[in-house]
Amino acid sequence: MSAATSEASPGAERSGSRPEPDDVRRGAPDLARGVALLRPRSAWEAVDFGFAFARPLYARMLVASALVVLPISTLLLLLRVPAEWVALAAWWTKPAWERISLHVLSRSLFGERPTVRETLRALPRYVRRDLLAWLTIRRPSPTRAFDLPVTQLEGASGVVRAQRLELLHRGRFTGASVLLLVFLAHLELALLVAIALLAAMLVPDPVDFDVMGWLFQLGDDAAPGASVALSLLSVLVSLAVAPFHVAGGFALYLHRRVDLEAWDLELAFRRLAARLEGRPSHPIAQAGRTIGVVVVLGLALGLAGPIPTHAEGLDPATARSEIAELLADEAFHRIETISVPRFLLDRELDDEEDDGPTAFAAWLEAFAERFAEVAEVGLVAAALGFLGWLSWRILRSREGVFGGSRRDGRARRVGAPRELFGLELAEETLPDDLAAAARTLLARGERRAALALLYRGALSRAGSLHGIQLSRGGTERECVDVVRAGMSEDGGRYFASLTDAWVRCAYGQIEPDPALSDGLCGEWSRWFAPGGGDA
Amino acid sequence: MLDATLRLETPEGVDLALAPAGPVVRGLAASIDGLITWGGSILALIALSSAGRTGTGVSLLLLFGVQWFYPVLFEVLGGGRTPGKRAMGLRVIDADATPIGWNASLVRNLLRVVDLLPAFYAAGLVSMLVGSRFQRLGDLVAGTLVVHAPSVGPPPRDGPASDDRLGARSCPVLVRAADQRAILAWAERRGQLSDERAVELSDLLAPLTGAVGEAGRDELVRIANGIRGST
Repeated sequence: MSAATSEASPGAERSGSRPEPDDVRRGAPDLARGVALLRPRSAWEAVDFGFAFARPLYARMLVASALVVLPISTLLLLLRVPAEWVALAAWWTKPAWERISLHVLSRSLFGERPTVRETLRALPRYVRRDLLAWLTIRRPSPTRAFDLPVTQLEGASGVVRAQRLELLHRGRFTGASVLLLVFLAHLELALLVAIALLAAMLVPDPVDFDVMGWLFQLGDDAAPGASVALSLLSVLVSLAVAPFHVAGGFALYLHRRVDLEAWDLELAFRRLAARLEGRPSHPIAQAGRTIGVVVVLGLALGLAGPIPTHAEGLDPATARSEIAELLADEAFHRIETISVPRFLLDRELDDEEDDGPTAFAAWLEAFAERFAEVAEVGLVAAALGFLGWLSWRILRSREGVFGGSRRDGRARRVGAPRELFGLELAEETLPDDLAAAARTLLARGERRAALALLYRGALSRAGSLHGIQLSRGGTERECVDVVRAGMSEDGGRYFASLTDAWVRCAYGQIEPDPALSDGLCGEWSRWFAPGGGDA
Repeated sequence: MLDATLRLETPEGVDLALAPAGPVVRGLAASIDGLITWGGSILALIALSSAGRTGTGVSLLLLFGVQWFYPVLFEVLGGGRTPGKRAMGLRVIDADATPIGWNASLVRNLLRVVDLLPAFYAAGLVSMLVGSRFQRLGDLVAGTLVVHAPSVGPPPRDGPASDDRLGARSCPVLVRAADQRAILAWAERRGQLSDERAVELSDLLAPLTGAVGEAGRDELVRIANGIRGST
């Protein structure tokens, strides 16, 4: 218990000389130095925030606490203390060595990230406060991780601590902190069994060694060394889980204080005030708001599993006989001779006799038979339907059953858009001789209207004449790319310049000069009139 | 800055903030689902046990169906929520924030077998704690996420009722939407803060309100009222 204190006492004097940075002590912490975005969250979101926060710090928390716990445990084992007692001691002293993780977490919240060495040097400073109370009356507390910051970070004890806890526990996080402890306690047990099982699985068959039996056989029958192994394993699992317990509780504590003190608003207000006064706001506060987003693409392959390539021309009758033939083959049979002790056989026979069918069972059996008949018909019908559908698909698309042309097929079904960027594209809304109509508009000086007509016509004919598929949600620029891909190079260039002129005119209010508009109008028929020029 | 949320931008330029849910809350949701499925199955087993071996056969079929398809049906037809997830405010979605479909749901639930190994979902738990988005192996393969999606409750508690009587005024300078939200949140969460703390915060905005202390606080309340558009 107090061994944890003596372990790292040599470094105490030196580290004490350094001015201590603000933790999340009472009073306002320097939030601008914070590395995590604190805002009101639900209790479980807060716990998950704690886990996410702990992840990059996990290694140093684990190493630092292991460097304290494992040497002491080994020492106790060498002193001939029974292994079970050593494991119990490690478990009992959790409130002491969990403080190591809390130290790392709390310092890291404000960008400090103490190393293992620094953490252990500082150990005597943070481990002592109220240690005796924590190891005795407070040991059974179900809200340990939630309460520990009040002792360790706020330095509260006695009446102050009681009042403080009364306030903190009034929030919506207390229940979550209890459930957190319950869950993680189960997790520890589960991991213990899981690791033992994994070891048992990894023992090769010829080796006749029952890992589970060896490990969990306690009491007088226990194999020598087994209890040491089990105790050590449980200490290791405790060490591995503890950082998450501390991080979850710490996060709950932080979010309770965010509720009480509105840290997020303080940060927002400080930034706003700085901007209003023309000061640059704190650089750290500005930095790093972007979070890398990684999108894992969903499993694109889906259900398009094995494709029955020979499914055409196979009617159910032949299929059935073929199946029967195949199943009759020797490959599907394995003949085994099993010898069973006589008495087991007898017992089974007895069981069967005992198990006489009741009325309900008879009914159920009859029902099952009837159901099976109906289901058989249904299944055959479904199979026939599936075959029909399959052959229809095969006849319809020569490219293949599922593969290849799926995308094109969908596009064809959608059809050409009737409208793009608010421009009507249906053929019937366009004049018959579009180039002539545009020329008349140009002659009247309505260059914008003329350009609109030409552009609409070009978009519409790109679909109907050149078979280019424009997507409904595309932009002008995307249309240019699609048209370029589907037309000759000159045609594409023409469409690009037409688009450019239209975009300038429509969005920039810059009318094209007469030479350009006349040129565009003159060349239009070459590309987009039916039967005009080389398409 | 660590936020524990995942931001996705849709093609329409809408920012979606997702909060992936971790092992504890998911474990609790799974426990609730387990209670429901196993409780139901055991009741059915007891009811069918009177029917001898046929009953056993039927109940085994039932058990199979419930164990494998209960989560799939609820996830796909119930908006990504099994009863347990609903109780814990969780939802399964595709990793690109679209609703989960049959394929993904089947894959992630079939892979429970892998996550289960070697016992008590140990593989799944380790995978969740190691990965950055709390995905178990089934989630990784199916490309799905479990996120916090608390059901939308009543609007946040308003500040003290006397706030309305202070009247409203427009914000003296143009401030960004995020700042307006912060001012509104201050007014709405004032009931949870001590009055000293509320004043401390409003003092920070003295450049905006032109006053400190209670006068500044009242002025900020008026500005918040103005932003909210109430009188």
